[in-house]
Amino acid sequence: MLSRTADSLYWMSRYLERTEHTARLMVNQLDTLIDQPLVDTQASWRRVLRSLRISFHPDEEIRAEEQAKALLLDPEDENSLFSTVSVARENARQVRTELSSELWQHLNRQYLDLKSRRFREVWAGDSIGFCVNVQDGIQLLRGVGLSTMTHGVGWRFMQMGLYLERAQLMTRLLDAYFGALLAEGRAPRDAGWVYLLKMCNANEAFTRVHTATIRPDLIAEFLIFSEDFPRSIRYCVDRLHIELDLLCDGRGDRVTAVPQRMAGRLRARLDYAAADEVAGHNVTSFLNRVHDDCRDLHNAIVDAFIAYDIEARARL
Amino acid sequence: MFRDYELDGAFDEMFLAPGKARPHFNELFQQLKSIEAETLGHRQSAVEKSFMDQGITFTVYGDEGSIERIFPTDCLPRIIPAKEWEQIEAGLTQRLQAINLFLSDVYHEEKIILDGIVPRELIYNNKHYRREMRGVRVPHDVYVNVCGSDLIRDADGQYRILEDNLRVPSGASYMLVNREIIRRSFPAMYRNYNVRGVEHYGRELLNMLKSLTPLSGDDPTIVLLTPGVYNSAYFEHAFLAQQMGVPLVEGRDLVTHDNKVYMRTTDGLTRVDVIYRRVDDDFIDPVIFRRDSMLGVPGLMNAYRAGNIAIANALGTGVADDKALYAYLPRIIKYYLDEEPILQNVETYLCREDKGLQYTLDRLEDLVVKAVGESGGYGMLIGPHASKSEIEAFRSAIKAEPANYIAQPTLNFSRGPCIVENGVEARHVDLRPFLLHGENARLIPGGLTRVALRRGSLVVNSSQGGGSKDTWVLDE
Repeated sequence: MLSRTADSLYWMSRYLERTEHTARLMVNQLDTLIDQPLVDTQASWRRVLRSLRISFHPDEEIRAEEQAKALLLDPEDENSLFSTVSVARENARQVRTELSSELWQHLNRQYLDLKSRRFREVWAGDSIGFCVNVQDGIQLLRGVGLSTMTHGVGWRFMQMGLYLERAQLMTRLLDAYFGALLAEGRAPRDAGWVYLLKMCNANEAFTRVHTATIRPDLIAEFLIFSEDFPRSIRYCVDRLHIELDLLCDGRGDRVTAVPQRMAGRLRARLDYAAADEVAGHNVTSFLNRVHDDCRDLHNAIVDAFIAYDIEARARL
Repeated sequence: MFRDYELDGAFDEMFLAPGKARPHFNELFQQLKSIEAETLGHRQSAVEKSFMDQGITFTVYGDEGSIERIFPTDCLPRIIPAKEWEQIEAGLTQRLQAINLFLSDVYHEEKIILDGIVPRELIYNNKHYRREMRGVRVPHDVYVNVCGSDLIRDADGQYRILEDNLRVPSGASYMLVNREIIRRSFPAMYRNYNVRGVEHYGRELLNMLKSLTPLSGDDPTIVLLTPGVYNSAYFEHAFLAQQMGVPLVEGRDLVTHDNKVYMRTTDGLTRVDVIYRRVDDDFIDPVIFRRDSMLGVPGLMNAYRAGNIAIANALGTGVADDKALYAYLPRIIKYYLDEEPILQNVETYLCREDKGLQYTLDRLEDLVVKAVGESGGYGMLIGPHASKSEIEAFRSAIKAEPANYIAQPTLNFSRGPCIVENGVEARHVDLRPFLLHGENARLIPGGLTRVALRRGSLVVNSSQGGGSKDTWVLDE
């Protein structure tokens, strides 16, 4: 497959994942407004914005409408749902011939729908429902892709993009909850932990395994190390390693071995971590290391498959 | 239904006389008579919806940026009997043969210039003449592998060549899409008529490209080089690449090394043997041509000269589809083939010649004047439809640069039946068949019939509001 095509599919997938993640964060964050005072909305906002790497003034009150305005439909804000869907769609457009027509049409429809909406109406109406629809739309897209696309080279890059993005977003979200703020001694109340689970779509899954008792250490363990839950960090890096192996499928060489090894080491880090590595304050450095490993893996994938030196991979 | 069908002043494709259809149009005529205007309207809407749903668009670049438009297709087919097609095929094949001999000569011995048939400056001053192609050998000595010459019918019903398109002619995808959609509109009639197929175009194109490879291997790597998604004809590039099953690449996907051309893939570099290029000469190699081009492949020309890559169409073919050179085509055919042209040109006056210039300036209100370097219907004056100020503006332009203009009589070229709001009316049509030439010439039986959708308009180009029809060549 053309490197450029693989690159576009990869980024399309990453931007779709980011869209779904942000949408789900917003669904739950906007929900906290209803749940006050059980939930400390301001603290929750700070965690969400921090996880998205969006800056805010620590002493000012974070206003829901203002944030929603930026994060839902603002075309000038690169973090908004509209912006991330637009970038995904633009990437898709570049490689439209590689996508199934069903996948393209769904994505295009989603984009056109978001383009036609006005924030004032959304905010005056059902803003949570709006975000749910965006979230559902992406999930639907994944399903459509799963059954209509050939699971070839292009698909592998889409999957790698999905899991890399998910892993990185999870490390940041968990870091915002467990890391810095724990250190400052401001742990979320119980309801806040439930919202974390909901933001990861993990509330039901967690409850099934651990009952409704809220224990932050169990939540950390679940969201970082669960083998089966599709949004856990471990699940993501497991899949990353598998997809990369499937992509190389015995056709690898010295160059492609680099990202393969890195993916393998990252997987091992999650598979063989000891409990104390994520206990208490250690969790921050653990999550940061995983985040950096993901970033390095992304660079290695690009170096091996997309932007390689001619001399490095010539079969001349 | 045919109440407002205009029959005066031009050859009509369908009617011999009011109410009397030509034999090959008779079945369509009978069908139309038995349908309600409303039903016909529904069929036309269904056709339009098909195009919308599939997103078959082209991009028009205007003042406010770009707009994606559906290329309107009229659901009534244009029908051409076998006998007429025979003449078209013979005429186009002859013409292309002469053109290829001309190009080979112009880029090698230049005999036609030395013998004084074609003025030297017409070749050398032509912005499409590529000095870099001098002495370069191309596969089979064939420069134009895809030829899209435009034909019209004059008042006597004679087919004439309106202009040649020898660089990156487009429209084949619309020919294919039209066939697919219109066939479903009139399935019974299609079967009864025994229409020759065009669906194999992709295969023919691929076979032609395969025949160009300098390598003797069995499975040459062929790519379609596109300027990218922002090009107005991108739909066609993607469509044809998919029909042929070849990679659709942009300049940045290709890299030259050691005078060979490679594709950047996730598996490393893959050697490329043949490029079907839809990028103009100007943009195709920033080392040799326009330095600011982001669409080309640095080093491509060197690989080409080294004989390591085949390019269809060859570089430098534009010197032969120049509007001024067009007037010399009959002489060119005579020179190389010692034959009279089977298909005539449209009468053309060259403003670079004194007689032609005077003739033109005296009759600007009656003539069609074209700027030699333009395409797409731009840079054109249609005398009878132009305002006084437009005519005067052209007069100054012609006087300033006479060599840049040619004039032709305003041909009321033939009209065919088109669906309008209240029934069927006559609209001017032209014809662009697609002639492929690898080792041999192959004419696809059909082509793109373009329609000037506005009543009385003579402008058929997609970029200026034209539309198209499916073209049925009969197999009798």
